[in-house]
Amino acid sequence: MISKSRIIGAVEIGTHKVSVLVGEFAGGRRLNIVGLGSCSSQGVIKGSIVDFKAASDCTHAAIEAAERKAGARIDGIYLAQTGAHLDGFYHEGSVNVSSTDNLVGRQDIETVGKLARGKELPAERTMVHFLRRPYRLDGQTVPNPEMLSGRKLEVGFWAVHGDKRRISDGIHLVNGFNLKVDEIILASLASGTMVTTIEERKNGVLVLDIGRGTTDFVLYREGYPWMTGAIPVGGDHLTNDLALGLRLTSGQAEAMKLRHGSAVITSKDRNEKVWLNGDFAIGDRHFPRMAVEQITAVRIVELLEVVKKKLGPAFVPEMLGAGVVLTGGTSKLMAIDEAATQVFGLPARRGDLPTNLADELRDPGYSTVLGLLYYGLNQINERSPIAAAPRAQGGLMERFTRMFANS
Amino acid sequence: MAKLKKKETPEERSWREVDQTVNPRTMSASGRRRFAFAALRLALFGTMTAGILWGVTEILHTLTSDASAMRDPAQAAPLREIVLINDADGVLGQEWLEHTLKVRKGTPLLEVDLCQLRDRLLRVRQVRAVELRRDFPGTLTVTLRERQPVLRVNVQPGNGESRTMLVARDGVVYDGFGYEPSRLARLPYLDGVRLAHNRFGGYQAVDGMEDVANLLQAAENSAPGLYADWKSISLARLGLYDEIVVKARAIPQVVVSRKLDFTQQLARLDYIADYARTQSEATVQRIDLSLGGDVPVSFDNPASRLLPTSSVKPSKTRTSRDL
Repeated sequence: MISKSRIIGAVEIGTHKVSVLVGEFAGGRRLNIVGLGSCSSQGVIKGSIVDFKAASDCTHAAIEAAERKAGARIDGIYLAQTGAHLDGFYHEGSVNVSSTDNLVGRQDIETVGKLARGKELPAERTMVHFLRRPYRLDGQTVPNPEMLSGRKLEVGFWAVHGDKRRISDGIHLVNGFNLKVDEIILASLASGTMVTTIEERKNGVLVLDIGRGTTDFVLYREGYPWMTGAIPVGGDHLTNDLALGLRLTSGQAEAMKLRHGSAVITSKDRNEKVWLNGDFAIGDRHFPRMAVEQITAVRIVELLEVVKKKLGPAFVPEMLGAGVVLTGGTSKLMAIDEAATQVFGLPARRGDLPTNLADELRDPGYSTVLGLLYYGLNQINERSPIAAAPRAQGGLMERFTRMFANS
Repeated sequence: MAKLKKKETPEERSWREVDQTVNPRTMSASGRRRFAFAALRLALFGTMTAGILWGVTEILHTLTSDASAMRDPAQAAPLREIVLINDADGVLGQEWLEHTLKVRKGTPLLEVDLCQLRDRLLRVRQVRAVELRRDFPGTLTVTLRERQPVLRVNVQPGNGESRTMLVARDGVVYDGFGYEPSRLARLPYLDGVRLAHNRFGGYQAVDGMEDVANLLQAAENSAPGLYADWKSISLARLGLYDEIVVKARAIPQVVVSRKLDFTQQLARLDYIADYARTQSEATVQRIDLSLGGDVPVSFDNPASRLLPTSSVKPSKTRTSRDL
């Protein structure tokens, strides 16, 4: 029997780089990663597109490279969404169970869901996700209330919305390569799915995806994404501070951050020096290690504090049994897990990517694009069997066209 | 009052409502390349699909078509009628045509072999030209052009019995069919020619008949009295002297030149014949019109000569000028 498959491209247009992964969803249940393309990001600041043509050129180049490496043509795109324009709110609805025997029916579930999603949006905003929290039946949390007996059914949604123009920019950028965006997925949700297990999410976990321009976070409780957010602060701020504080160029500061930056001050000796290049050539200079660490540590703690503040009352350490998981390019900063532990008062660790991945993909910088594919696969499986199956009507045509693409 | 805009629910304001139509302005060079390739691929796919569909249709059509059924249209159009279109002076009729064609009514019209029928008709030498046409649903139209007889000729095929055949303007000798006997009786006979057989068992065409036909036509038109008296036309001197010798009942020998105008020659002949008949009791034996203005006339009764025979030769002393 011929297996049906669909080629999906996961695209993350980040501040540092544009990453594209090509995945093949075989039979709607298995994912094969078949291509990777990346390109230094241009025209993107803090996750927002500010120069459409530059961003378009580098994104299209990355998609083209990924397609070439995969030897297949992409059918649709899963696009990661980040940026400070994203926001969210919680809204819940409740209904009295309609049937006389107090058994919750599908109609009750649909009605309460509709009520919970019914809150109006501010102008010029568009919805990105409705993240459902668990149902409560007479105050008791239940994963699926259907056919359970009760009087009052409640459910809440964390609604993620963003600026309509910013989101449209990202979509049109992909459309410019003659591709359609099939899904928009929050970058934090994508990387959160990738670096945590179902068990950890049930126990409660906070995932921070610290990129170069933005930091995305997602808080899981009871197995559900409880709250998400993004702040326009990332590794670039550490670089900028180092450049300003040590009077370095941006490139030198970036190199200094990567080699000697630390999220906690480890140096005890004020006289301990670190060299800028380490090659003792003309122009090579040395700086106090403590100064470098102080700058990076202060900035990273500040970043973590901002996240904690944004979480607000949703951050309940007792509800986060699995602690804090850090990912993203900046999570490679030395001792960042220690800093997170200090700030959040919870055990923190860097997120691990699956060991069966190729070495080049096991970098935390790829956790979002990997997560896009895994999140997409999970979403497909969560839907009805009909939805989970690849497009039946397009099967023959796709196979036909792929035949040309592969030739 | 301005109409209040209906508020949209968050679900209706999803990112999925963003128009994803490809805008050429947002395309990069690689995007245009991909778009062109996709269009080309689509066109190729469309062409292949159309080709396959056409092929399948053709195969199905071939498999489902019965060869015998393809003959249905022809079988549905049998020959019902044969229509003859003939010249105004044509004499061959419908009965003769159907007898000659030997085509059964009811034969599928498409199965009628027009070439064979044409040959069959042209074998009758009275027929000069023929055109056959199928007029669906069931008519065969035959257009004939016939030869017209100019002279009669008696032939002896070899069995000793002589029979009369006809000679047309183009020299073709043929058996006449369908002519009125009175019409044929008016025709002079051909004389002074030895008919040669051709390879089909008939006779070869007679040379010089065009001039004879012109002479006869002129005589019939301008001097029908003279023409009615003509018994035979001899071509014995035609080859050597360009002379046509007419034998009439009243004048045994009239020599006509084919190089001179027939009408003028006939006018002289008419005048001389009239004059001689009224002015003399003698019978004219020979009139030679081939010399132009001078026409020697010979008589058979010397006693009745107007002038003494010793003084002049008849041809010299009795010319048309003298008369």
